[in-house]
Amino acid sequence: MNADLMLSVEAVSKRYHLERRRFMSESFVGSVLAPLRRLRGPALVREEMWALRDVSFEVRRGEVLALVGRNGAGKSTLLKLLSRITEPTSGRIRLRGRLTSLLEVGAGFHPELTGRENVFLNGAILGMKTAEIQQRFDEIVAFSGVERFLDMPVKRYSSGMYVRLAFSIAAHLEHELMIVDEVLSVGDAAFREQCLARIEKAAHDGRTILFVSHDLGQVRRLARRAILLESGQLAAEGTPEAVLADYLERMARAAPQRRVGSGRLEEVALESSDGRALSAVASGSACVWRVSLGAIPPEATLELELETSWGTRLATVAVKPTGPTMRLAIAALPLAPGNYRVGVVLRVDGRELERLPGGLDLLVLPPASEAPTVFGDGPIALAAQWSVIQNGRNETLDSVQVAPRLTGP
Amino acid sequence: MIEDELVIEPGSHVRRYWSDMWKARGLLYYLAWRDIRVRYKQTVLGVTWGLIRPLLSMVVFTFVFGRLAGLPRVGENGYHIMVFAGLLPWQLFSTGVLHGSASLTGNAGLVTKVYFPRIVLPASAQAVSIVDFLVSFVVLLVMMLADGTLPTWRIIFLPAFVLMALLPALGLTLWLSALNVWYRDFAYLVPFAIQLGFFVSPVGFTAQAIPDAYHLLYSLNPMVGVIEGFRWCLLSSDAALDPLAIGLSVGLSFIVFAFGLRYFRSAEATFADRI
Repeated sequence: MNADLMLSVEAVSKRYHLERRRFMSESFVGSVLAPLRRLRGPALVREEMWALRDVSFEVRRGEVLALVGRNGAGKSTLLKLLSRITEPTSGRIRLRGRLTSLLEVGAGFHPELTGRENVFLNGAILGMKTAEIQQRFDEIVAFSGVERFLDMPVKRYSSGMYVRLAFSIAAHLEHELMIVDEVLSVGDAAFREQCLARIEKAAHDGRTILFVSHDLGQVRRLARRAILLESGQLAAEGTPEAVLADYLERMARAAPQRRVGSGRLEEVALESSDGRALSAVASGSACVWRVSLGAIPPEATLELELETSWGTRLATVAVKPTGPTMRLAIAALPLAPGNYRVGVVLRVDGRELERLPGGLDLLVLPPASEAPTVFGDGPIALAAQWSVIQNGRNETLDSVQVAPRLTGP
Repeated sequence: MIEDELVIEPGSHVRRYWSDMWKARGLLYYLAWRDIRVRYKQTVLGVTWGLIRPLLSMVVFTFVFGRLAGLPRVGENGYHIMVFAGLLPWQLFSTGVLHGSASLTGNAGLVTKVYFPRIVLPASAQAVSIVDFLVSFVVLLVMMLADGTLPTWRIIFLPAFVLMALLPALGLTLWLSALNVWYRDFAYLVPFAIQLGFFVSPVGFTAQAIPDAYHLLYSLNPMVGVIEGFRWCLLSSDAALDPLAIGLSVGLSFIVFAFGLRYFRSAEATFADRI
């Protein structure tokens, strides 16, 4: 293995058997009766499912690699193979050094034990020696911010405190290779920022990181290289920008964004300005949200909230509805390509009356034309133009794609 | 440069098994510590529960078998001492099996999220029964002193019989915990089987109460040799140990352990996918 290589995945496949079982066959009696049942046909219908097929890639020392792909593309299976929870059906994985997997956040936390006890237990589960845990104990606790509750059983913790303590332990393992699986979708915005900074610092310190995220903003911020998995196969590999563009394009071919609610919020749909159903919007182009209301409560306001996929509010637009169909038109969507979320709420006097469960996904694609739009690290696309004043003339310049910012320790 | 290179491919965990096991010894300790810590949390009586159950069993058995049925006792100790000396190894065995057979399903979150040799879970579960055993053992010594007797010099053989109770307990635990991953029926079957075993084993009476014609058959229960061995070590009595029962106990214990381990190892790789 090349000296610079930290991880090498060579033609790895993983097959699962999906078994559609008959009544009772999950029980012991069922398995005893299986021979009888076989007289009437096969006891269970076996179907093969390749969660991963012939996947190969390499990760070099100090590299931050993002793994993207929709749900069920095989990302979790790949991480499970890397952390040795299951074995590949064929192929080979070689890795160097010790591996921390942040998929294990909170694994083995016992609700009855105190925070302090759980730090030691969880540390041991993650492969730390007692001396190592003692050495980092203060740092772990300080990072988590739960000092005051250390001697309280974790079952009395709020879910935020629980996750913060769990993440702090995993984040303080000084292993050479780190796997991060969407843990950053938990906790409050401030803690998420703290986690991202911690990962950036790890990357800065030359650790090798493989991370999975649905949050395209995070991918752009952290990764230097990305791979795209689709249906268990490697679909693309390259710079985050190129792979994300590929991913977004594939996502855009999916179903249009439309949600049927219940009660007063009957239906919310994303459309083009001429009324066609849309699944995604290009950055800087026009779009319309159409909301169908079943009943209009007096004094109610209808609000659309625009958020990043990790919950930062970007904008709220409200109206007093006066008819059953309300339309919100946006002339030029000022968002950088990525995943966003639209919340639809009915309020009376600021009190939430009804909210569309889960909200609506908003996928923003790269702009179709070469519009003078600037975006890089951040959710906002500015209609802006750089120019240089030289010899009394104003010469326009193209914007430069901004590399993800690395904040210092 | 980084020392160890790890290769993951089909069958690779089998080759590394015992070295992984050695690396996981710290985890074995922590999981055992956790189980002990958590065992009597949020109970008013705490560890006292480890005493109440055997003491109550002792009272009932002494009354039923000693008084009502009038079964013979061993040596000059009270009937209740004989019962308690039999309860010790039984408790060690049954608590281990009961607690351990649920150790994989009870830790599903760990099994599906972290790699470690899975055998650590059923093995660490035995710690709980060992702690209960030690507490009960002290109580037995106190009761014997109150009764005006002391353990015999044969107590030096006691550790051997403790191992003889632990070995089949671990073997059965391995087998049952793996089966429990596939079939949750065992979660219901095991407590019931343990309860039956309690009455079938010579806990409330001595093996001498069994007619000679059935002795060989009776000794097929590995706990018969262990329980009789405990009494031989602790109680003053002229009755010699039955070599047949002891021999069968030792042999069967090893067989149960070997089968349990084999079954566990063959099933282990798929636990995370099936649990």
